Amino acid sequence: MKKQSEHEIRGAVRRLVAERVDEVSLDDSASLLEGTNLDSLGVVELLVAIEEEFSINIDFVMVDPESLLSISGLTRHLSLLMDDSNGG
Amino acid sequence: MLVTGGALVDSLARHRPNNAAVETREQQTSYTQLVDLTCAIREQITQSPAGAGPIVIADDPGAGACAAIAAAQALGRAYVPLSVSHPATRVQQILAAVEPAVIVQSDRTATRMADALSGRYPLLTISRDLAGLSWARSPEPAASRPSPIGSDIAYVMFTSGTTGRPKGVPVKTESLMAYLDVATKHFGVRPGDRASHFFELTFDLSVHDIFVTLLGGGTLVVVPAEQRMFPAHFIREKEISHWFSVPSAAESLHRVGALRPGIFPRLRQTLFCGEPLRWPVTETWQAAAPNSRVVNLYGPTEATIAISSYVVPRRRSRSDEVYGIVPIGNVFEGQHGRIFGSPDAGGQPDRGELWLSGSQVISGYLGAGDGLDAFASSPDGRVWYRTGDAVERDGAGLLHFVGRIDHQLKISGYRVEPAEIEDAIHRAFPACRSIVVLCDRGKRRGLAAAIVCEEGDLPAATAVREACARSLPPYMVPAYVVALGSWPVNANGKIDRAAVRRQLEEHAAPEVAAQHGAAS
Repeated sequence: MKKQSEHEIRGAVRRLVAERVDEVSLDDSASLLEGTNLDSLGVVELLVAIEEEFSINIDFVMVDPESLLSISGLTRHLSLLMDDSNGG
Repeated sequence: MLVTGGALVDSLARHRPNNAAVETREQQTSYTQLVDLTCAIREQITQSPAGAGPIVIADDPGAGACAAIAAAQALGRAYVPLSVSHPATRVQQILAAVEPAVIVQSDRTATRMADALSGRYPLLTISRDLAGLSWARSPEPAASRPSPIGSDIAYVMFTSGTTGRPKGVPVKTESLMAYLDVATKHFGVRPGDRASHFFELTFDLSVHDIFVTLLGGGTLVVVPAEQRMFPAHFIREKEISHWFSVPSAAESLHRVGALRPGIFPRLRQTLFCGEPLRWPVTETWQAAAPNSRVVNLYGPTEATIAISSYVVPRRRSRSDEVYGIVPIGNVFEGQHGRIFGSPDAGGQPDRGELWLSGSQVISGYLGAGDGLDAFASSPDGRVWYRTGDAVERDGAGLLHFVGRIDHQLKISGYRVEPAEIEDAIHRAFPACRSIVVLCDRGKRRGLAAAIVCEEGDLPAATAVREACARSLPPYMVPAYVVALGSWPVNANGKIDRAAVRRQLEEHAAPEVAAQHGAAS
C-alpha cells in the first residue's frame, strides 16, 4: 500500500464524496447524511468505493460508525488505518 | 392482551420499579419514572379543557414519547406520531386530518418543530429531564373541533398515498390487542432483556418495539439515527438481546463485510420486517448471531404491524432456492389470507395478489374517499384488504413474496408511491414530467427521478430536490435527478418504468445542471 499524507487522503475522500453528493460546498465536518442527497444505499456505496480506492477494510464492528459519516471523520480514520498498516 | 384503559399503566407498574424501562443516549428511565410521567401527562390532559380527540406525539423516540403513548392508551385515545424530520406542510396536513385534542412535544424537539406545530392545537411540553410538564399553548374551553377518529382507534399512521397527500391508516385497539397476543406469546421480551427501539415513531413497527418490550418488563434501547445504517457497534456495545429492524440494516453490514461469525453472541432473537429478506444476508446474520433465532415477519400497516411469520431454519431448504428470498411464512392463526389470482399470473392458482382479512385488518382509510379500491367484500360479508403484494404459495404451504402488482417502492421499509413524488415535481415544474424509480445497481443507488421537459429550461437537480423536500418526508426526496431526451415506451406506447430504471442504472447520464464541478 502506498503511503499517503493526510492531505492526499482528504483530497481523495473529497473527490469520492463529490462524485456522489451535489452540495456545492459540503463542509468537511458536516454529516454526509443530513441535508445531502445521499441516502443509506448511497452511503454504503460511497464507503465501499473508499475501501476499494485505498485497498483497506473499515471495521464497522469495532469503530463507531458515527465517527465515519463525515469527510473529516473518514480522513482521520483512514490516516490511522494506513499508519498502522505501514508499521506506524 | 389488554392495553386499554389503565391496563397498560397497571402492567408497567407491576414491573420491578428500579429496572430500566427506556434507555437513550442521554438518559435512562426506570419503570417507576415512566409510570409517574405517564400518570402526570394523563392528569394534565384530563384536568384541562382539552377536547376528546387523539393525542399527537411530536417527539423523538424515548421515555417521553413512550409515556405520552401510554397516557393516550390510558385515556382511551388514539395516538398519532409525527416525525421531527418531516416538512411543516406535511405535519400540518396530518394535524388537519386528525384534529388532535393535544400535541405532546419535548423541549428537545420544540424548536425544530415550531413552524410545523404553529396553529391552534394545545401543546404540552415535557421537560428535558422528564420531571416537568408545561403548556406551551393551553387548551381553551370549547375551542376544539370534533375529531374524525373514534375512541376505538389505538393509533393512526400516515403512509405515502397516490393522491398527492399522506394516507391515514387508523388501527383499532382490538387489532392492536390481537397482534400483541401473538407477539408477546411468540416474540416476547422478559425482565433483563434488552430490546432495540430501531423504528421511528411514524413507522408502525415501532408499536411492536414499545408495547412488546414494555409489557414484558424489558429495557427498550433507542437506536440513534446515526447508528441505524451500520448497527453492529451499537448491538455489541449496548448488549442487545432482542433485535428488530428492516433487512436494510443487515444488508449494509453484510455489504461492508461486518457480519463476521460470532460477533453478536448476546443476541437471542432477531426479527426482520418491512422488506424482502435475502438468503445471503440471513445466513451471514445467523452465523454472526449464533445464539439468536431469526424470524421473518410480514405485514402492511393496514394489517397491524405484522400478520405472517417464518422462523428461519439453520439450513435453507431446496424450495427456498427457487425464490432467492426468505419466505414470509404463514398468516397468524385467527387471521385470514387468500391469494387472488389474476390473468397475468398465467392461471396458476397459488400465485397472485395477497388479500388479508381478520381482526388485525383495518376496514378503511381515514379520509372518506381515500383508497376505496384497496378494500373488497366477499359474499359472506367479510372485508378484505388488497395488499398489492404478489405472493406465491409453495408445496409446503409457505407464502413467498414475489413482487408488487403496482409501482409502489420500499425505501428502508418505508412505502413510497412514486406518483406522490412525481406529483410534487409536476406541481413545482408544470412543464416537466418525471418518473421516479429505485436504482439498485451501478454508482447511483437509491431513489432517482428521470425528467423530461416539454418546454423551457430543465430545472437544476437541487431545485427539484428542494421542491420535493418542501412537502415530502426526507426518504421520499430523490437522491438523483437525471434528464432524459424522451421516454422509453413499451409495446402499448406507455412509458416503460423498468426501461427508465435500466437507463439510469446502466448509462451514467449526467445529473441535471452539473453541480459537481464546483466541489473540490
